[in-house]
Amino acid sequence: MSEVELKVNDKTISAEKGETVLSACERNGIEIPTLCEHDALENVMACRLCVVEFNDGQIEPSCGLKVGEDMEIKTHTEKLEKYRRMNLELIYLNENHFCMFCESDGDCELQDLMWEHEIDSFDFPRAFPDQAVEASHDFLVIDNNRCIKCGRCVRACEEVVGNETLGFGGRGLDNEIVADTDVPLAESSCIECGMCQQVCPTGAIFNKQSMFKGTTRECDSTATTCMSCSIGCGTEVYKRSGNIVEIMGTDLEEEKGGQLCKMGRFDPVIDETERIDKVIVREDGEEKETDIDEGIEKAKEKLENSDRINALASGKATSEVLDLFEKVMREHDALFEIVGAERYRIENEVMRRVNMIKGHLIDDVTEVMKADHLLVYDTSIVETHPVLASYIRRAAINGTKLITVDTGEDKFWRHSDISISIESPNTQLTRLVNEVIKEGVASIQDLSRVSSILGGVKVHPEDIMTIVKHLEEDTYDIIVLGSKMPDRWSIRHIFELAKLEGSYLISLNKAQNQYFKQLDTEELYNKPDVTYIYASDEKDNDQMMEEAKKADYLIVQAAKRSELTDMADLVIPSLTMFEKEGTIEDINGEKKTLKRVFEPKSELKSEQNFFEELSKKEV
Amino acid sequence: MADDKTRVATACMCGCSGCHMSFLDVDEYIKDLADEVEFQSSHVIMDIKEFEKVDVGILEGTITNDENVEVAEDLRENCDILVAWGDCACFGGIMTMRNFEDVEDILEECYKEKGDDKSVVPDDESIPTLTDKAKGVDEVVEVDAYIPGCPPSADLIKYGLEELLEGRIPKLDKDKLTY
Repeated sequence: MSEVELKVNDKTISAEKGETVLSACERNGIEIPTLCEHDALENVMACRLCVVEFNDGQIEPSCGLKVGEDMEIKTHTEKLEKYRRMNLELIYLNENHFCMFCESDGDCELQDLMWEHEIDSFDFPRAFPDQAVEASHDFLVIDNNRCIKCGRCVRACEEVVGNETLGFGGRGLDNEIVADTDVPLAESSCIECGMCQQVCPTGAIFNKQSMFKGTTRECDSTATTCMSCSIGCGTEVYKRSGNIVEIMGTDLEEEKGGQLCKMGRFDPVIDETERIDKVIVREDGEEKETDIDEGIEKAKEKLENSDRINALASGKATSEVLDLFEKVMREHDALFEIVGAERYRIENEVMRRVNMIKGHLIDDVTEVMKADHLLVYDTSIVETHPVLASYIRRAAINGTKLITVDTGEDKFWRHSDISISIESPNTQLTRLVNEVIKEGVASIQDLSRVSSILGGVKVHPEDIMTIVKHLEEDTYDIIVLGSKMPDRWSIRHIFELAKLEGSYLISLNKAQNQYFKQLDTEELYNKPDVTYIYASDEKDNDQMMEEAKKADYLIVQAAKRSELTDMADLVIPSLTMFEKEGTIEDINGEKKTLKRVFEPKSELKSEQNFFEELSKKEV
Repeated sequence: MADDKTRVATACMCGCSGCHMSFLDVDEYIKDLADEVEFQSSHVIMDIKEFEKVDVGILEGTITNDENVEVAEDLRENCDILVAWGDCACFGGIMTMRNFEDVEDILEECYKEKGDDKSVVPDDESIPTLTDKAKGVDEVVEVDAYIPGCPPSADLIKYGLEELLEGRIPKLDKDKLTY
């Protein structure tokens, strides 16, 4: 890394060649005001606040100015202060800011800068432009009156989320932030991730559900990890008076940019499902609420007096609780399963059969952004693992060739280079691809001559050759399998394909906490005596419902009321993901910490204690 | 002695009186103030509303009609230092929401469209005429000191008064400014 030496405010600092003056200054503890700049985004030199004077009195924004050997830079001169003050005034007066009723009053980067520059009156007239308030969405509002057109939201939507929904529409005083071709946000391609809200410096983009409950500066906060899927994004939960006000993303390294998705950022704030806070016993047509101790007694009684016990845990559990739950259930010789584990067992079996080493499996999902080709089976990733989907979209925007295979709609349709639509299951397509590769078939013409391969199957030859051609070259290829992939054979063929072509794999499953991979799981009894489902604060889940329906005596441990808890004979409270404390393992195998945000609002205060008491033995 | 005291006059133009209420939040300080300040006329605090020559004039509220203009000009003439309290006086404030429309359209909408069939747009010489736009004081007369806020806190108002009593024009720095 070649170094450059330059003088800033008469102090010599060293910088890296190609670095901006702003970046070099920040690293050396020299602060320069900025507004449109954001660590996770490309610099655009829009606001002109970071201007510096250099050499012969030239003035340029430091976020664009590259360091030069022996440059002499001044960051705070009278002239620069005057320009910054004037600029801030013009930025403010160009829109319709009514700080007195804005929900970001006191928590606004524009205000901060104006106060820093001691602006207590205006030299310029106000523009009063006619700007739209886009409030069609259930919770996200874009108020263009407060928007300073810094473009952070546009850049974030493109560069971090890869969704490219937000853009600028109109010119001059009519310039506004618009969604797609200026359609209501609720009808646009917006995926409701809230990245725009997180990066917005003013009160222009906000969440209706959070407004006036407290600004981030007025709230306490806890740093924890989201449990909605296996990506495990870092979160900062802002809270006040025992309620969640707002959730922000904290993984601010360049790849992630503080990203979250709707499940992690908004669902917890808008969820109003009834809470299960007491034990409920249903017998002889009667229902009564009782305390935890009685719940433990009842559960123990049922477990001790039954032969065939099914134990099913949601993956939305800490590693510590999964361990304890398994231990307790095994004491009663229960069969033990975790939602999503079956998929992992199938993968392991497949890997043995095709003789594949673990090295094919990627241990850092952000690698998709470095791939030359991405082959994605099952585009439901957009809904199940939205942040991974954003990495896939970003890869496609930046030149990675994206090929998708789905039995339904291609949810990456706006970004995929090739969408292959097949009839369920995937088996035939990939099986044929593998045969073509093994036979060394080089083109479609060759393919049609090899009729034994095609023989009566409903797969387009072009689709086969497309996949073959793209994976064949000596390129960095990653195959991503969504969690909805249904059958053993599809997985078998895809893993085989990866092995044949030296491609890497990311295989998703439905479990959130991947720690389950270290536990023994198995298929459950078809006719159990007792079924114990640890549903945690998972929403209704097909697998849990299926097991519940088979149950004779059903015990459900859950945080919120649902169809599942309504069916149960014994309902035991669980903690929500904000009340839990412990560790989880993410899709990359990394251990992450869950910190308690709230004291449990239920009679059950600790799941670990609960399972210890449920255990026969003294712990 | 009465002659040593700083003479102050205040007025509220198109304002909510919040700034004056905030001033009253200075609580016991008002006793100390009374030793150094003589209120000649004032909104809320005194019955006298007519200005005489004073040292410091304080204005709250937006200028939205011709009466407000007269009050501002009158106080400006009668004082040495003019202070603007609150966002309305400093910048125009919340009342500037009416600036998106023309005065005639606003009056039509309020009195005709939203009124009943007997409703008319008020038109009597006793009623002040709305100015073209709602504006801050410095768009009409020169202002010497600004204490923005909605309202500025009692501490800020107290700071402003203390500065004035020390013979300085108060200027809020970044730790004190609010909007």
